[in-house]
Amino acid sequence: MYALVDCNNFFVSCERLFRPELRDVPVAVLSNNDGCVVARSNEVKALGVPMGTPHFKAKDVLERHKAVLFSANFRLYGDMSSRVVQVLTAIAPQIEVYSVDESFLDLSELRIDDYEQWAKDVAAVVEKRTGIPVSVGVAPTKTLAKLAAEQAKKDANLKGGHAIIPPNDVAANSTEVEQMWLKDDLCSFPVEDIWGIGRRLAPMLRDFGVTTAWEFIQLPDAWIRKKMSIKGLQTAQEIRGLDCYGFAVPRDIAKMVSASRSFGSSLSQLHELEAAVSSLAFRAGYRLRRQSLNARTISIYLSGGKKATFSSKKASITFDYPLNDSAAIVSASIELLKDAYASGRDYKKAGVILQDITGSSEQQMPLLKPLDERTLTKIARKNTSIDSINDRWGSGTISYAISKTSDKWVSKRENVSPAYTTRWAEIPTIS
Amino acid sequence: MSDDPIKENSSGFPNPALDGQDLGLDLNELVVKHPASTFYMRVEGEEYAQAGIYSGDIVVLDRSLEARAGNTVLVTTDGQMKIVELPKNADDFAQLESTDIWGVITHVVSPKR
Repeated sequence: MYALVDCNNFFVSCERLFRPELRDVPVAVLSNNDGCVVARSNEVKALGVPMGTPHFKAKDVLERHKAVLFSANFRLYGDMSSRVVQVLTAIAPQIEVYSVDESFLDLSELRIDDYEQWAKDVAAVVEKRTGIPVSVGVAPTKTLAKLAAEQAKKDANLKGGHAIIPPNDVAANSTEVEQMWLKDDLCSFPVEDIWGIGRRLAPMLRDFGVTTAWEFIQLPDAWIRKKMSIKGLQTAQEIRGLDCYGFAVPRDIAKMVSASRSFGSSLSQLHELEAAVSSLAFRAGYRLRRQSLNARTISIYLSGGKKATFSSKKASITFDYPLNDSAAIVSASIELLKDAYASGRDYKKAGVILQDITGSSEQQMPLLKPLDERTLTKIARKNTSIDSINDRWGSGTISYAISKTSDKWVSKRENVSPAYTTRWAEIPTIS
Repeated sequence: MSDDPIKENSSGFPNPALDGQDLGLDLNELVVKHPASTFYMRVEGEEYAQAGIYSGDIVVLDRSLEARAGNTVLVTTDGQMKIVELPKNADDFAQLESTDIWGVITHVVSPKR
C-alpha cells in the first residue's frame, strides 16, 4: 500500500505561513526572472490563470484582483520541503521524495486499520508541525494514490486525506465487474488529472469520448497499448489496482550535477558571460562537494532561448582525474566559454554540467596519482573553508573575482520574501 | 606503540584523555527538541515586556506541542501575529475559544551584550 503526500499550493503556502494576513487573498509566485507563474493560490486558480503563464499575460487580471505576487524564494521552499520530509520520515521510514512538494510513502510495514482515517490524520499532523497544508492519498498503487490525493485536495469534506482500497476478495487488475470498488472514485475524475496522461494525451482520449478515469480503464489493453504505448497501459493497470511501478530504491549517486540560469537581461559581451558562467561553475562545484562527489567531465552550454536565431552551443572537457575543486572547475568553465562563445549573439541562458561522477571516497585512479596527498588535502581544506563561510554568511560571500565583473545576468527578483527559516538576519519579526 | 589504535599527537605519545571525550555542549540539544517544527522569530518593541520578552529577543517556537494552560504562545488574530500568555487557571484555559495558535514559545534567547 502506498501513500502520496502532496503539499497544497506549496510555494504559496510557504509564503502564507509567515504572512497570515494573506490567507484569503489571491497570491501567486513568479519564477525564472519573474517570468512565469509557478504557484497559484486557489483564488488565483479560480481567476483562470493557468500554471506557467508568463507574467505579462496574467498581469492585468492579477492587478485587477489585487493579487499579491512573490518572486520565488527557493531558500525558504527548500527548507520547508525538508521539514515536511522529516515529519513524514518519522511516520513512515520508507519514503521516496518525488519532488519538492510530493513524496511517496511505502506503507507495507505499517499496521494501519483504517486507511481513510490514517490519511486524514497524517494530513493534520503535517500541517500542525510544519504549517504546510497537504493532501494525502492512500491506495495499492502509486497512480491511484496520486488520484486519491488529488481528490482530497479538491474536496474539503475529505479533510485532507482519502484512501482507495480494494475489498479483500478483489484481485488487482480484475474484470470490469470486479472493478466496481473503483467506480465512485473514478467516474468523475477527469483524464487530464491522471498521472501519466496529462494535457498532452487527454485531448486524444476525449476525441474518443473518454473523459473520465473510469471510462479510461474500460478501454481494451490492445487499444491503449497502440495509442499510448506501454506507459499508457501501465497507467491503466495501475489505476485498476496493479502495482507496476513498485517503490523506488534509494537513488545511488547522481549522474549529473549542474547549475543553470536564465539571465535577467540577455548578454552578448564575453566578460558578462564570464561572470555568469563562473558563478554557475562555482555553484555546481559547491553542489558536488555538498554531496561528497567528484566529477571528471565538465560541460557548459549557452543558449539564445526559444526565439534564438542560433542553436545552443555546448563544449566539454574531461579532467585527468575526478575532482570537485572550485578553482579547477571555474577555470575550466572559463576555458570552455572561449570555445562556446561567439560575438554578436544575444545569449539568454547558460548552464554548467558536471558528469562522470564518483564518490569522494572512491579511488578511481590507482595507477595515476594526480597530485600528492599534501596538495590534495590543502585543496580540500580551502574548499571546505570557502563553503563553510558561504554557508554561514550567505552564498556569494566569497566568490571568484571573475564572477563579479558583471551582474547583468542576475535575474530580477523584485518581490522575494525573506529567508524566514534559514538566515538569522531574515527571521520574522513580531511587534 | 606503533600499532596503538589511539590517535597520536605530534609528539608520538597517545593521549589517554581522548578516550570517551564528550564533544562539547551544543545549545541546539537543549533548545530544539523537534527540528522540523522549530522556528525562530525576533521581537521588536516593548509590548511583551510584562511577559518577560523584550525588544531584540528571539523566541523559539515549536509547532508540534499542544498548548497548555499558562503557556506563552504565538497566535494569529486578524492576520496579525501576537504573543499571548494563556491563562494559568485550567478552567479559564478550557473556556478559551479555539484561537489560531501558530506555535508554543519554548525558549527566549535574550542577548545581554
